[in-house]
Amino acid sequence: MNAQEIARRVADLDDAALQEVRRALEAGGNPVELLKSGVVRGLEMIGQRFEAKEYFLPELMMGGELAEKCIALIDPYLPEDRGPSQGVVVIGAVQGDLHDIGFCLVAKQLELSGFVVHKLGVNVPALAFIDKAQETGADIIGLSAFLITTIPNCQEVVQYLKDMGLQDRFRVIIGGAETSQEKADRMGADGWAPNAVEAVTVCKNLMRQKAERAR
Amino acid sequence: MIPIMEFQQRSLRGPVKKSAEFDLGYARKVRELVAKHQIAYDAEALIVDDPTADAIFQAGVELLAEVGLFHLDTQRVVQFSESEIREVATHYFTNPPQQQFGAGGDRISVAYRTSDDRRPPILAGGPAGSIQEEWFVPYVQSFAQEETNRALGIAGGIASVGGVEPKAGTLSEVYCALWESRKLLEIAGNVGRPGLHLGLLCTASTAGAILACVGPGLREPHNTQIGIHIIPEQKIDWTRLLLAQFCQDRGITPWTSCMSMVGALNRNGAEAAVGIVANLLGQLAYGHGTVASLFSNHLDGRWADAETQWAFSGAARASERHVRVAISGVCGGMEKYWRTEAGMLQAAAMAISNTASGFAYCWIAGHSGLEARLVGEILEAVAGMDRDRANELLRKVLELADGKIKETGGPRAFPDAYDLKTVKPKPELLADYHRVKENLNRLGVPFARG
Repeated sequence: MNAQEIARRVADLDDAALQEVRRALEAGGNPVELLKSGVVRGLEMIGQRFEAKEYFLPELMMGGELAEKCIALIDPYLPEDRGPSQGVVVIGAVQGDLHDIGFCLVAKQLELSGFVVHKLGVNVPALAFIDKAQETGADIIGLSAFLITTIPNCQEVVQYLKDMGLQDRFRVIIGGAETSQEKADRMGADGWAPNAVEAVTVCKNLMRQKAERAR
Repeated sequence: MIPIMEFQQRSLRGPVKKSAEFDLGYARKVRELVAKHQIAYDAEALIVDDPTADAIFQAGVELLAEVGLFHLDTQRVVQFSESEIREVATHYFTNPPQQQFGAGGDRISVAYRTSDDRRPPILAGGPAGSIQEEWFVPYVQSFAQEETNRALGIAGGIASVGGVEPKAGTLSEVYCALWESRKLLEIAGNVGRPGLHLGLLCTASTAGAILACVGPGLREPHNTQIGIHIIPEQKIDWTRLLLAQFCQDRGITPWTSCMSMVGALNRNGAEAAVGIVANLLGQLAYGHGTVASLFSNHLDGRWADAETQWAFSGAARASERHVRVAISGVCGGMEKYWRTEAGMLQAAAMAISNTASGFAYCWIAGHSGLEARLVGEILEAVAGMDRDRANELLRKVLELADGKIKETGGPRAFPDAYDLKTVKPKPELLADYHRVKENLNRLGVPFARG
């Protein structure tokens, strides 16, 4: 019951979610249940409302902030082995590109879907993506490019990975105006998505393939 | 006006913020202001009326005063007082600039226009999107050779030259951008219009490559514009300020581009309209431009629909009544309908909306020269049309366009639309053009030309 109420409050972007979490924990509620059926479920509902155009980027941002606060309250009660995240993604706009809305949306959708996301911002040099991916043990590198002149900088990241022998360690996805599946294939990227919602599907597929390879 | 050097201090001393925090602040404030001023998208009034335009202007001023501009390099907010913003608007309002582009017989004069002005907006159409080298010349020529097309407002970007891609910040960017600029001049000469305005340089995106293309015999103050904007919303960086300073110093007209998106930070057309005005005033404050383009689209890439047309009409009419800078905008359809009847009808709707919303010049971006001809004819036909009549006409054309969109599979590639050797439209495209003109005429577009 508490978990459902937390989910509803998170989805409604209502700060009373924090009070619900405190109350549930004090009453001895199962912290894993509160996290999964409460906070994470609320985030899923936010994602659904975004798809339905009831919510917009600010709601995703506000929902993310609220969820982080809820998780901080639950965190000390969680068992040490709480299961893996969906995956780790390093994302940003490639060097020369200053468009931030697109990759921020993808980052938020990924976070809402359970990925750990490291945002690098705009105008990011190729090696900075790779350094961050290595530092964080990332699974996926997300590259955003909106200009005809910055798409080649996506290819530069792919080329560095090959030349450094890291192409099997990280998957690369690209997106942004002027990008396409054809361009992604040509440069050797592992995925392309036309929007933030589909980017999540692409990342989940890449993670599933990774898990299958590991078996 | 605020001297551009003043932006040095504001960029280095403004409040420190995270980009996401700035975005959230923008979103909250624009919602609050739209509610306060009771601004709402009205599907029945796509050419925005005076009271709504006034409310959009007031909300835009307040939005800029509250949120400022976000400097991406310093992560600081460049702030303005409301009185400073009003001074910027008053500066333009009291002495609306008149801007000359081009040279000799190809010279054009762009000036502030009102929504009921009998002078049509000037058409400055050009190709857009990613252009293949094999058909770059005929594609651009299809626009340059059209009589109704008075300049190349925007010229798209060359995907590669001899297999070399324009990679930002490297030699290949300069190589491709120089190739593009030289080709544009060559094409203009070939069609007997050597003084044609070449508009915005698109293949170059970094300051180094842009400046490499500016010089005698290449891009010069009379034939070029340099972009000083970041879209969207309310962002600047050192490069934009450096380019604005370069434009002011060298007498080049900056390309002031004010775009606000529906579906990201803005929820709807009303918020986007207010965002466009705040963007306009912010860019005029540091760029000191004489012309400014206004634009809106949806996050999913849709544009040229009723809500985005309402948004830029509202912003344009706000500017008409309170700023009086020469406003420009795009009047083309979505890329996935280019060179089809649906795309022509979307472009037609935009042309009607631009004309009746007080745009001074506009460009069809993409499509082909034949659609530029069509748009030029529409601009002439509807100039001076009563706003109510224009609104009714616009709604009918949009309805027809929506119907055609449903039966349109995809765009017609330029090589399928034009004979690449003769640079003449193929019969199928010409048939579409004539059919669209007939339909527009039936709906009430009073064409003067056959």
